[in-house]
Amino acid sequence: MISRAYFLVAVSLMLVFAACTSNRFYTPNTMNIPMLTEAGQGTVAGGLTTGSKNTGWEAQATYSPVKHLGLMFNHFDLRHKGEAPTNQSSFFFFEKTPYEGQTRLTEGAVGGYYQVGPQKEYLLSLFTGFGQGRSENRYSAPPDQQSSEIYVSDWRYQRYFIQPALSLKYNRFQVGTGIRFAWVNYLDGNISSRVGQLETQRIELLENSSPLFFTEMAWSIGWRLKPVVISLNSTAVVRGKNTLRDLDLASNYVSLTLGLNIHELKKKF
Amino acid sequence: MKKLHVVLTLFGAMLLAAACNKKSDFNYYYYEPADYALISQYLNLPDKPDNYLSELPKHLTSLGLAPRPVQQDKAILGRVLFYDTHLSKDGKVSCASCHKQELAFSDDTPVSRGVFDRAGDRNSIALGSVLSFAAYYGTDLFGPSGIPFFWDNRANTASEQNLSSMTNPKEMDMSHADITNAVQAQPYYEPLFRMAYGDGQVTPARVSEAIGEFVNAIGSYRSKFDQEAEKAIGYNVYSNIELSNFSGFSQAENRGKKLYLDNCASCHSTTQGRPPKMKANNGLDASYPDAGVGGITNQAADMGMFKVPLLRNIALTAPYMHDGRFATLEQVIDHYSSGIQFHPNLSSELRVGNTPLKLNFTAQDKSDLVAFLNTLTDEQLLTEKRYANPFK
Repeated sequence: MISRAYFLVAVSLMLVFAACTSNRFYTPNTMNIPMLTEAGQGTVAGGLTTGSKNTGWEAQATYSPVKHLGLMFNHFDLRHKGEAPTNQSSFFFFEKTPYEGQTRLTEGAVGGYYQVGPQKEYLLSLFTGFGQGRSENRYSAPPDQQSSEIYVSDWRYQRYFIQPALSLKYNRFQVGTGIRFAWVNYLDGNISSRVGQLETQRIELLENSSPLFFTEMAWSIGWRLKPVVISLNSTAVVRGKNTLRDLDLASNYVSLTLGLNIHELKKKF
Repeated sequence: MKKLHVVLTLFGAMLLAAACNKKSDFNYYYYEPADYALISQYLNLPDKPDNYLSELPKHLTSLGLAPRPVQQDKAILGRVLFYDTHLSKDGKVSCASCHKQELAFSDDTPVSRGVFDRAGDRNSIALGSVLSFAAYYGTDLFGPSGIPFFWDNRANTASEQNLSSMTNPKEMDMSHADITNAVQAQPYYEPLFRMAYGDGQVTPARVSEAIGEFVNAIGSYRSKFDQEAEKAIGYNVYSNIELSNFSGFSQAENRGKKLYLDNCASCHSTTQGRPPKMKANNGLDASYPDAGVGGITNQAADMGMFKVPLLRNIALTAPYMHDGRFATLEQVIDHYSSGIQFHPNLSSELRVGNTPLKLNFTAQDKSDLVAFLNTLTDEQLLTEKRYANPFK
């Protein structure tokens, strides 16, 4: 009962913090916080996010081939839309242009996990990984043109990360929190500078600042219905540096995931 | 356990090394490749377009003065049209023929020559400070204080002005149909119109609007005066400009500034922002064969009245006055010193009752005034690529 109440409070809080920020340049995927304790354990999970401006899905998996060693796989696909301030037409005026975008990322990681605490109820993990992704943003023509032309900017990027995490697992309830130190390296892209001066300047800033280094923080709260786990997750970019604020990087990503603990499935059948 | 640590450490080190080595390489393009290939056969337009929005100096923005919004693609199209001689009856005259960039977009003859060497009626007005003409205060974007064009103020906007010049028999002598046909005949315009308007349709209204967009963006705001005035801003820009000597000015320039502020600024502007007066009679003649504004309004009070120009780049825009009668700045100063003639509409600043003022400048005063007027030249304007002739 208590765990269900916590779960509902957490849902409300995360939705409040899921602020409208830009997904055009980078969006954090759900941080995959492992709950591995033994060799042979594995989890697969599918996640969804939906809202007026975002629709996304992701697939995540963790597996421990030997005790203390874990493998991780993540795939992320997000479609988003909004309005980009594309031109500063004068001291007072900004021109906003509607856009639709898609960003994808596939990555793998390897790491270790340890149980600590008097009853070994805490799980510490440290993973490091690498992935590659692609972002594409499609902008409408400026409003004054009444044109159906679409201007496209797209690029590939790589992400390297190191992720320490801490989690707790109870019978009906699990929580986890983690920090992800991310290096995002923008590789090659084709940019229509007709997307507007302001937006082009931002993309140039993105290119010139690459690789971007920043920290992401995440937490996850899950309701365990063995072998299924329903989790609500939030991952946020810590936008401390001016560059990150100027780029208006997406500050928060909230998802609902449905996980299946393979080892619990084996026990059950 | 040891092995695991080694594996993780190596993996982490490898990732860090990889993250630091890769370099971004974005390819920026503005025109579709086929469009740019076509345009580039005729024009030197950069693939990364020029920015036509200018940042006015602080001594102007602190007064609330801001440049008009610029529609980038229309300004680019307007630049090409501005320099295109196809827009004239004999194919030899463009807007730039009488508004030369190296002369702050003015001409160096009393009256310019149009198609078939026809002489115009008045001196070509320098367009080098239209940005200031077109600038506005606060929300007065299209309000009543927009500054009109031509010496007789007969055009309310730059678009009206250029369409009038294109159709003037003494200037470019084109009918509306001629304008449309001439533009449609040039292959480089189709992509430029498509980018500016969403389709390739050519109309005289679009042509004049695009030229107007370009002309409104021509700005002159980086002169020595601007640099010094920007340093002087404070609680009251006017007082600071009026009361302080500019540290970067010579003694002659500072003396000239004081003379200018005491004798000229009430009509020509203290800050070189917008001219405070739209029209004035400056006592050139006792009777005027050219009625100026009065010729348009038919009002007695407007007879012999002409546009009051800003004095930005004045050292480059000789000859002076609406008919180009004065070849040098010294002659202009001599006029105000001792040559003002009485006219019923003579500006109140230049008369005491019915007696015209004689400002009686000394030789030193004249020399100092010229020294100050020379500080109003914006050298960057004269070679700035975004305003230059784009034709190959």
